[in-house]
Amino acid sequence: METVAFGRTGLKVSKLCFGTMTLGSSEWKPWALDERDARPILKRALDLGITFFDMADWYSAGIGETIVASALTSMVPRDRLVLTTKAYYAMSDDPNDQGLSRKHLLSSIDSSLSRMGTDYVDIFMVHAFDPDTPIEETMEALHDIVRSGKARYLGASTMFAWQFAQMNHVARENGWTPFVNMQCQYSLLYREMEREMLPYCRDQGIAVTCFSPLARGWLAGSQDRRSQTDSMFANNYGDALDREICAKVRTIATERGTTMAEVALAWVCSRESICCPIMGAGSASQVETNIKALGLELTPAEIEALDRLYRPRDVINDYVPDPMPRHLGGVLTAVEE
Amino acid sequence: METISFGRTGLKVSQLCFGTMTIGSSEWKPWVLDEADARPLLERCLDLGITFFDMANWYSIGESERIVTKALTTMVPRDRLVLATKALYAMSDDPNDRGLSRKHLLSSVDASLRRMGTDYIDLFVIHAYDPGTPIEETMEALHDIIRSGKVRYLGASTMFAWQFEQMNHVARKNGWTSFVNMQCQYSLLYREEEREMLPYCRDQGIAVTGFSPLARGWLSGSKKCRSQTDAFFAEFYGDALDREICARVETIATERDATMAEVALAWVYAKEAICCPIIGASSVSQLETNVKALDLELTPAEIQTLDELYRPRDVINDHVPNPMPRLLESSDGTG
Repeated sequence: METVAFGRTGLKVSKLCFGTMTLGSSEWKPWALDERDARPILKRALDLGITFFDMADWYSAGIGETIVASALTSMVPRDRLVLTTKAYYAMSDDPNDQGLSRKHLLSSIDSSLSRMGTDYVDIFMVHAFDPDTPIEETMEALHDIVRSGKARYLGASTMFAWQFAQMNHVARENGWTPFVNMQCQYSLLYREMEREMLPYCRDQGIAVTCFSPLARGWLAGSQDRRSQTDSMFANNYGDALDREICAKVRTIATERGTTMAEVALAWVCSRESICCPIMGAGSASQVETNIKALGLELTPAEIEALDRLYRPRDVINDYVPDPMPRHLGGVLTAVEE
Repeated sequence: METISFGRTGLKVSQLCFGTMTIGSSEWKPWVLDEADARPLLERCLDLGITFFDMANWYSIGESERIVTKALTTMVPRDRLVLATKALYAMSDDPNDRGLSRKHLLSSVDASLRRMGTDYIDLFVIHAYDPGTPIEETMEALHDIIRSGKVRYLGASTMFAWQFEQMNHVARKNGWTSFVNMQCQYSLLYREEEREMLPYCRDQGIAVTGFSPLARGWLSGSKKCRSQTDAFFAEFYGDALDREICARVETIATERDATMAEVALAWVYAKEAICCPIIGASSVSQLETNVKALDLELTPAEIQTLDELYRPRDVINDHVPNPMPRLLESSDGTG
């Protein structure tokens, strides 16, 4: 697998990043895989050349970090891996066990390292913007974590561009470490980041990693187990235009003798503004499908056919409480499948 | 008319700002009023208590600044007025006679002052973002203009939030003057600035002025001369959802015994994120309607009724070459 430079840093990563939200404990979410099932998937990912693994403290409430890092470090030396983790979401009922306060960040990195059984993470990320903590407090705490050696680089996820730009400016103004990575949702069905975030990141040389490249299974032609049991996006995807885009993906997949998932992933991989797509997998064979998509080069005409249908939709993040489908006609389109 | 604070500055402005794009020369655009027709309109503005006037060098290619300022300053002392003008759009074929370069900005402010016959501008606004000029060059030139006394405050218009944030940051980092104003399009039919720009401005205490509160006439229930002759937004507004929103405006207008324009303006006036709506007018009676809307207080239920339908649409600015309606033709009928 290709190795790519991570934005304007010296860090090199595998072209695909493996997302580990699906690995941990089925007690956390019904679609999460337990350790026994996770191990062969991670092994296959390593065998196929993936060295970049994305975690978060919140995934399976810590068990994700424990299982993934222990499996990986038992198979390859720690330094051969690029491991990320995140902090922000509530790890318990304690009001200080969440958010981007100095108190939580400094505890959170230590807890993550102890669960992962390593003494550093490569990228430590803020999972979202915390409107209740001064940006100065957050950025100074993150800088202290970088200086302490516990994190090599900083990243951020799921916030508005103006918030992200503010955080970076506060860091620069104070001589603290800015973010080198933005992780955001991006797929043929969700392209809102093209408006502000991707141009900002391009301007600043910030590496963009993107999650949900298959829009929770919609772009693979199936709503998988997770989509059925996960209410998080039930109302957001599936309007008439989404279905039309999916139909276009299906047509191209048929013409190219491949799967819809491969076409949808190949489209994401073709985007210059995306450094690394993050792909999850529920089985070793899904890992193979995802990687196979790297070899599928779409023609400019195919990309244009996939590109031109998209229309703006609600932003999905913690600050938009109830994203709704688009309005495409006289009456609001109901989700039906 | 009430006087309000302009963001976190000490400047006070009238609650409404009068936009002067419709005044200048009918040779520039067919919907523009010439000097003789403009004077009574501006006089009525002053009578109604409007002291804040928004111009641009580009409007009627300089004629607007000349006519508007001349009329106003013969009626009231210069210091009683808050005058804004802008720079960026091409004033001639010369590649240096446009944009946000140091060369153009320093010449542009002098040319505007000459046309306006005044020795200072209250608010100097960059009309858009210029990707062809380094931000440092622009912000230093603007700072020099401020230090020279030719301009009291700086504003910006029509750009992405991340670009605006960068410009302010460059100014602060270098000890230069930052923007106190963002002028952007805002109406019941165009609310894209709610996503990034308005929250940023609220966070920073930047005064937001909103133009096109009636979405080129769509929200007043009539597409007037300008909509018919101005291709710019003809294709953009008017999709099924726009028409549904207009229908609700009409219903409330009927219930409240007001015009659609009054209801649509009252909705903008009710938005806390907007410091000052910019209203245009082609006639004294239109102006009076726009001002009368200040007295129409919508109920929370009415605001909710107007608010709830809006769905995202393409951004309108110079960096989105071809904004389109929400629904593409190819999808027609599949919904």
